[in-house]
Amino acid sequence: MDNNYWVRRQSRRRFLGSAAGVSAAAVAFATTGCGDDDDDDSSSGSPTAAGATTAASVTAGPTKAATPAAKSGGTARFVSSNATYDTFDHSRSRFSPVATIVGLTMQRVLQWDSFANGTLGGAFAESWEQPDAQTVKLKLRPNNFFHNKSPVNGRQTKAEDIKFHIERNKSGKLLDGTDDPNFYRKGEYQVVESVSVPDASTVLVKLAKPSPLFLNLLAQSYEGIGAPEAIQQFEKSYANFNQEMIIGSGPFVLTEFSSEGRLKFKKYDKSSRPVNLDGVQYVPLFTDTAAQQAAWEQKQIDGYGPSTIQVLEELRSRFKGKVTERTGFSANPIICGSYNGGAAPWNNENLIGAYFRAVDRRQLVQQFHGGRGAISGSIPPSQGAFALTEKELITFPGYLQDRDKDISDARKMWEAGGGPALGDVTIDVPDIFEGSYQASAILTAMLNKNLGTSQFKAKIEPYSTITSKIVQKKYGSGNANLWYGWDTEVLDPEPTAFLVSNYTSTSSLNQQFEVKVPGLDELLGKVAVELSPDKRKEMTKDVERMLLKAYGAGRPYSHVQITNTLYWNYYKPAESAPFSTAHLLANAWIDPDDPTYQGRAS
Amino acid sequence: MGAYAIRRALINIPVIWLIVTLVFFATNVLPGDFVARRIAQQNPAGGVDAAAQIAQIKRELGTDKPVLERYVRYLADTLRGDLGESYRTRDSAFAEFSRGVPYTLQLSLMTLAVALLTSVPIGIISALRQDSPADYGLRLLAILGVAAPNFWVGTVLLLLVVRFDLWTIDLVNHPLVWEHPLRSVQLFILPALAGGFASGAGIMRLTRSQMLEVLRQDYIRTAWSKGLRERVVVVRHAMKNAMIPVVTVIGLTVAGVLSGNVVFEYLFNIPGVGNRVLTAINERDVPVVQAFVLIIATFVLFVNLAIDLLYGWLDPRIRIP
Repeated sequence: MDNNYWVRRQSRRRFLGSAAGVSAAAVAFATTGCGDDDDDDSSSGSPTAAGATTAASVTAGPTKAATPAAKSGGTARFVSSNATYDTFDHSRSRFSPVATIVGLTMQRVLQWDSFANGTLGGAFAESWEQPDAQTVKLKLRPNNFFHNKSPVNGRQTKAEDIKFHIERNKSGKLLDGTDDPNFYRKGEYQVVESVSVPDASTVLVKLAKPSPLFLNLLAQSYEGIGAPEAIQQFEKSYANFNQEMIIGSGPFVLTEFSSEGRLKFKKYDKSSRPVNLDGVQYVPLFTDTAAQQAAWEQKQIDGYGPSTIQVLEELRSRFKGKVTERTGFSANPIICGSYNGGAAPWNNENLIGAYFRAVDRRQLVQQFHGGRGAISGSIPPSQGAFALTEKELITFPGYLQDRDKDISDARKMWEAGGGPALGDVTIDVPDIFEGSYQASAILTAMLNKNLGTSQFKAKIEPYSTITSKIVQKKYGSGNANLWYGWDTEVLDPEPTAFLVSNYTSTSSLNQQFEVKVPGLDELLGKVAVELSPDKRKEMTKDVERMLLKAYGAGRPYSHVQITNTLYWNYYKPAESAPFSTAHLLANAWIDPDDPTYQGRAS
Repeated sequence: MGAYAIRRALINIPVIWLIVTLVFFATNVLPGDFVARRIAQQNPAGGVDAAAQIAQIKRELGTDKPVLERYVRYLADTLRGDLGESYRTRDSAFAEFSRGVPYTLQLSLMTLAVALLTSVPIGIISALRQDSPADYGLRLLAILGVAAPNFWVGTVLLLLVVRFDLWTIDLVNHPLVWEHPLRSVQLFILPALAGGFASGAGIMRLTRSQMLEVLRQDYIRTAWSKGLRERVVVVRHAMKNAMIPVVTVIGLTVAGVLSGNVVFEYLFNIPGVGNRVLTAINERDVPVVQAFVLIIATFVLFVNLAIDLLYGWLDPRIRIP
């Protein structure tokens, strides 16, 4: 049997994990996105980028071309994708650039060895066992050392480091006992009942209930293990952003940092895993795409993602045979807003359905992204193994290939739901989304045309205002009816935790939507404790079917952008996904013997 | 002259106070404050209880206080020379500004050099050779300089150099001239040419028209009739008087170059003051925006003061109250 993470968890009640996972292609994920946490965005999958009408099921695994053996040396250079940092205390961060630093400099307890294959492997812990459904036994990696920075000074890692990390995140408190709402993963850690260190190399975690997702949590982007003494020294000053505060045991050491986005990492000579590159550099985000393109053409940076299809095609043609193109999904799905369905007027199924079906997702993919996108159900195609296939998705209202039917039904529902009596229907569009796509005019024209009305108006608002309105349940009633824009980025290859926390009617997050779907709570309750990944995959698809029948249940999805990144052939990228993949940069390498290496800026 | 200088300098004090006040209130009414924006960026669909986090961070930054209280504190801090700390980096706003100064200074000086070294001689030549093919050619060039958007010229120059691989433009490290002279010039020369060409075009046209006007004056005719050499007539007698309005325009050009730098720093990825202030505005990093605008506005005021004083020196009638 393949020693695959998913298969292992499915087939054995007691199983031993190891870092040597290999593929069964049980899960396949594609690839990179504009919201990716790093800029090494390469991909393994190949989404069907055939324009707006294609969607979802990306099933290709990594292409195993006959590539030469990896060579050591060289420093890869990328552009900082989003140079904003909230804190260097990664347990209290949600900013993807921080996740990139964590991935490069730290080891999580476990890590995703391959997103394409769904292979979870050891990292800070070399291996793990689950003697029963509520116990996780982690075995520490031997001869593993922290970076040589004060106050840790390169000491060997200890089992207590993992214990400290889990207990700190579970408590959500600072060392002085203050509650801090910025421990974002506190809720997920409540599944932990106790943590103990029975011997110097073992950590025993007792769970309060069976949790199939606890191992995923340990491998998440922000779960890097730091040394307790560093946290004791820096906890009050982590917001001051100094490279000396970043002390991990990962493949690279952070040697230079400036908050505008200039970062330098040097290969860690005591890394417990092989590292090919001598270093990695991030340069500040180019404010103008022409400059970024120029820097890439002159080989000052190794990868470039053109923002328009015209530029992409021109570069493809001009550098044919010299570049490798990687295609992937953006991390942030685009959502037709979210609304509170607990009160009038948007608790009316006809109104909800009319809006849901009047949104022409294929048209929006064309107009916003020049065809580089895929329609999305309630589970985005970047989590394709858990989502409905495109073939099935297009049988649901709102996604039909027969647009005339969708529009005709939408109009009937709009009339039946009393839509014409609503007066103006305002759609808030985030300012930065509007800046990218001029979405307000496109959306209102599309909705007015498809529903045969002139009621839809757009209003440009900052994202902060929109978030605030969502939390205060202001969408779904009155004039501020809807919004349209990017959804929160996908953080995990598996959507189960997201589905449970957002759609279970008793969860705090669901109070924002309050759309009742008969039978959904029961199904979510089952999937939350299902240990078999294959069964979970089928169950999440059932969840998606229920959500689509309820027109998104408060969170109607639109589509996901597809991004294309060009790399010079000398750069051999590691696998990446729309999730945090920086740790895999240890596998990337540079081939100085490739002809395109000539002229690379030193 | 001393009294005139003091009088002009004193006028700047209420102007600076007005600027400080305007900047403070303008930055405080921008939609979407820093904290809310940053939390929302990562959490657009409202997945967490953002309100509690926003409240806590506002307390830490002191932005939970009433706006008038913050204004008084801001004025007091500014008078003490404390321009506040960046919300983003927690570094002092003045330090943020200082980091951008060398880039902006180099770009401004190179732009001004291009503008002046081309426009004044060309304007004079054009006037001296009025209605000749050279005059027509140079005037066409000046009209092009005024009409062509400078950001377009900059982008075209960048793409031309890259497409024909003329030289490497170090867009990643953007070295300064004292760090790596050649690479620095290779980068900065393009925005300096684009900016200088645009700024110089107006100066060239003004220089030409002023020279033409002066060259028709009786005293110039007298100078020619005395048999003075052309160089003496042009440089000693005509230019000094023709340059009075030109100097004023050059003063305004300094302010124009600073604003133009925002565009060029953006286009060429140069981390100067303009690029930084744009980032600060986008991030709603209020202390940095306030500090940058205050310093730049004060600088422009004093440049204008210097121009006024120079003008007074050139034309003594202006000094009479």
